[in-house]
Amino acid sequence: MKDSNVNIEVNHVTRVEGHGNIYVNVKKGIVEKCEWNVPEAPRFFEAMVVGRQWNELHHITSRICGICSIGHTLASLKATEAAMGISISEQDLKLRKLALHAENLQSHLLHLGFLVLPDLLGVGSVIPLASSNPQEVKTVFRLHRTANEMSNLICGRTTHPQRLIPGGFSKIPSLRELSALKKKLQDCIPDLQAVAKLIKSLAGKLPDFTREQSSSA
Amino acid sequence: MKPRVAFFDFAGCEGDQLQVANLEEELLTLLGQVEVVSFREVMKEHSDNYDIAFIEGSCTRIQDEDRLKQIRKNAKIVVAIGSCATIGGINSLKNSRDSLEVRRTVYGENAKLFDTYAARPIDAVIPVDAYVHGCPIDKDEFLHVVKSLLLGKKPDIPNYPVCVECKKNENVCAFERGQNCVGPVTRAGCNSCCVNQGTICWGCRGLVDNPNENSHKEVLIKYGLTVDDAISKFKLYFGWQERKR
Amino acid sequence: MKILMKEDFADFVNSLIKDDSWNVIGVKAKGTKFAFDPLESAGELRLDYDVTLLPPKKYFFPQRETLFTYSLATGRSSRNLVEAKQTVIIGVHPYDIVALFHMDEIFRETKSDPYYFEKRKASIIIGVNMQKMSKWCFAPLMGCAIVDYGYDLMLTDLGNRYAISVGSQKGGDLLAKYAKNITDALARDIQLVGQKKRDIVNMSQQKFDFPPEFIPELLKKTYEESDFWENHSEKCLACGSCVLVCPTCYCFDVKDHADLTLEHGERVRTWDGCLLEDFAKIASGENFRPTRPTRYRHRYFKKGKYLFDRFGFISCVGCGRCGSNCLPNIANPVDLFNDMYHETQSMGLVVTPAVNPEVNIQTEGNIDYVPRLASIVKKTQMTANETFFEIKLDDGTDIGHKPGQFVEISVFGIGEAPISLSSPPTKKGSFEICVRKLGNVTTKMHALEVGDRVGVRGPFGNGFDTEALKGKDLLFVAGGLGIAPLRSLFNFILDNRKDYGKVFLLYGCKEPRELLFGEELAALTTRNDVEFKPTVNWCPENEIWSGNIGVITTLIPQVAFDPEKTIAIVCGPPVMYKFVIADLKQRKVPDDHIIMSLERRMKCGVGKCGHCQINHVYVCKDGPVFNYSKAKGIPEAL
Repeated sequence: MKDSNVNIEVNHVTRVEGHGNIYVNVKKGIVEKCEWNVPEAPRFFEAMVVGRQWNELHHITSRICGICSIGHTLASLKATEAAMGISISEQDLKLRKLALHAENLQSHLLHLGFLVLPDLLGVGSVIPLASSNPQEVKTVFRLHRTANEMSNLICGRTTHPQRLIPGGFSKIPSLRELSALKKKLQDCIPDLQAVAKLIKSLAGKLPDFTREQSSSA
Repeated sequence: MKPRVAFFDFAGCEGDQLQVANLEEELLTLLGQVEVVSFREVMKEHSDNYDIAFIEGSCTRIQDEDRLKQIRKNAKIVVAIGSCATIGGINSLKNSRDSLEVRRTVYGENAKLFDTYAARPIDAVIPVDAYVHGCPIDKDEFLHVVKSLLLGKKPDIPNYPVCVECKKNENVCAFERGQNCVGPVTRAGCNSCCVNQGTICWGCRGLVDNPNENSHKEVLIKYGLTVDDAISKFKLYFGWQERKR
Repeated sequence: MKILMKEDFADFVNSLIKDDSWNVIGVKAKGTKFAFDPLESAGELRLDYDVTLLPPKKYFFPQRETLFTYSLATGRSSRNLVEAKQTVIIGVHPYDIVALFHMDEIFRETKSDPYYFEKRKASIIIGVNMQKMSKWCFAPLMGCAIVDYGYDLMLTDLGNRYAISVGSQKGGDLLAKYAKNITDALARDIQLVGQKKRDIVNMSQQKFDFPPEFIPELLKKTYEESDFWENHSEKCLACGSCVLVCPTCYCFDVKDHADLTLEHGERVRTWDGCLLEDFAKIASGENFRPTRPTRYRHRYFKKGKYLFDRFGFISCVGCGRCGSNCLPNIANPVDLFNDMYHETQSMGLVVTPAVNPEVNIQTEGNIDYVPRLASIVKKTQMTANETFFEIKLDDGTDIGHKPGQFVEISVFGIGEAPISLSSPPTKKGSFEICVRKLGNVTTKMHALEVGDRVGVRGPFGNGFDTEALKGKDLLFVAGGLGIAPLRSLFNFILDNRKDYGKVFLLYGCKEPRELLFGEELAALTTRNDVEFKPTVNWCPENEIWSGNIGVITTLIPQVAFDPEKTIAIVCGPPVMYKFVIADLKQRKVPDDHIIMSLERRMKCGVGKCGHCQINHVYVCKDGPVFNYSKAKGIPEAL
């Protein structure tokens, strides 16, 4: 990389959750500028919650992010419950963990299937993949839908989950529904393995992220 | 010729755009009817040549107005999706407080670096042709609006309160369960999804055209809220709509 | 009367549940309340309940129902009238049984609703006498706490056993087939049942301060008391709760939905309510019941007066659901009627029991919600907003209408709209309509071309009585688009000219470029058997106009007609009628010589969905043609 010139100017990075601009200027091997900009408009959540009721906070903070709203909601509930000395049952704790798993499953599938796979297959988005690789795209959709059905069952909705409330849940799934969900997830394993296999086969296309030299402390 | 559509976002959580991705297999059917030419979250390509623009998020800075106006110029039809874009959303919670104080609470001495003004729906800046309400949007309602635009008809968005849907769904009223709810003044169209899940209506779809706000505030007080609490409930999502009255 | 021990009753229910050919519905707990829901075991039944959230009408008239599906391209449709699976509903209280009887009468009046009756036919009602009564319930006051008809089986809880009255052959057969150890009731059992029924009648916590037979007259006397209605409705949230939970409410809306491929569509009907703000709103934006007091008043009048006059029963069974669901607590009929009674007393008015009306409910076949297919054979753009269409039915038949009737035109995928027929029945092979571009359907129609398909239902409405007009002089007064329906009569008159006396046509528009049927009307000036006078409110600089300038009423003095021999036929925008009628009456035209065609939001076209109601009349059935002598007694008409 010595003596090289690099000019990177990306306005609104695409296919990421969240917003960012990247500016990098390297002249003759010397880094002149290396910036990660957040062009997003600040919303001031920390100020918004001041003065609101204890049983509204989780609803407000969920809106920090639509993709990880289950995570935000649970973090907020943890804080509220700690502050007010509210304990939750072991059953509710397990259900909350299931909710997090559902969110992770959905988010990872979105990341792999919608955001990364196009890069690995050399196209700009999942949309042309629908025509060129219909089987893979249908598999991703199928899995993504199952992940959403899981969070719909546990928390009511993936984005801004209504069932998660201080003290536990406003509604819980029945034993029958949970058994059906378990079977559905088990039935997904072949599809999950297929996606993992596909990504692994394309792993060579991932850029080499190793550094030339380690940074000094 | 399939209409060309583009997605944009401003001050929001991207949840409404995620709902579009959550259409799953129906997204493929949708792609049979429209051509997506710009959708930052999902695709690399971008084009300024589009017929329909879907916009998520509120306008919270003066510099965002130019971007909105440019989108309005490029598009034949502008659709606001999600509460932040249609009514100001949760963002409008900060409107009733002093702007500098809000910025200081979050950023301390760096407050002045973070520009903001009263969070507002996008129709406060540009004319909007259609609305998909909700926080987040309902997938079926989104598709209904898209289908209406494709068929050349005005989307059918209710002008009656959520109570209509709650009653049809045979829910036990939130007030009967010892809770309080703003469903009676909130625009229906969500199929009372939150009450169906055992909670309350928070008002995310905004007020109906002619809400009887005074009557409902009295109802809230009758069921145990203080006057301040009743007024505060209306600030959660109705901050911008109430300011206009 | 039979007796079944409770364990045997549970077995009876469980064997029904096990039999897949039955849907078994029963009253179950729902949170702190109760609801009719599918039963999975007899143990779930809560026959000791006070009231359910929704009445059992949801099984016969569901919240949402697909009427038919169709192809968007061709309009070819398939009726969604599925043969209903046999259903047994366990635990219906007497007031809900009476309500079902009301609904039966309403849904079979004039034209019968096949969707409702298909399900009704396939169901068995197992009633139960009330054990508990909610504090809002006033069924005993309405005579609905006990009932001796309308059920297939009726249970009374006698502690360790049920007494069962068999109300029908169906009920008796069901019991015989699925129940074991049935015994005959002993004298003591019969006596106990009688005692329980007497106890129930005294159980209500609500009280009328007057005899309930007064209700229709009380209403009649307080219609005009605007302060009364304003005060009582001030808190109304227009949330529709009172009407949506009501066992005798039946208003519905009909909408079209397309699937995402835009290849198939469906027409769906859903519950609607007259308390909702936009219930009486039409495409032009006009709302015929725009305020809370008018809507609030309408509900009480419909239940207590209009339906009473038409069917002979006050259509309220005292279940108390409306009162208990109203958050601002303004929907309890007992409170309202008591206030109304005291109001009349303070006004010094004498109130009498209502006279039972003469009821004559006929059923003339089924309602057909599915449109017939037709195509556009001619399209003429008349003005910027109005297009004239000639339409031919696919099967080549005539629409077979009377002048003044209307049709419901479907644009597949978009919806259905009522349009007046503009051609006379003497025109054979096709019919004509004039469409103003206003809402979804009419806007899409304007974009259609010759050869495109539409759907047609009808003709609907009463039409003009052309026989009664024979030999009379006719004075047509048309405002704006009002000329379109009048043309069906006017051209009929011209086709039978010798049957009628003098004919005058007065036609007014806002400005010259809005005049419709320009060429046809110009040709009238060459006839000597018709006197035609047009007018415009004003003429812009860039247009040419040599006729009268002024509102339509300015033409009336210019016409010499004999009020005794002349019938005036009026149609125009809502605001026009009052002024035209006032001027006609000044010319001594008798009330019954004035005929009007009124418009409202017509949806079903057959007097069921409730949208077009003006007080007690349905514009789609009892109108749209009204004689002023009758219409002047209908406060909401003008």
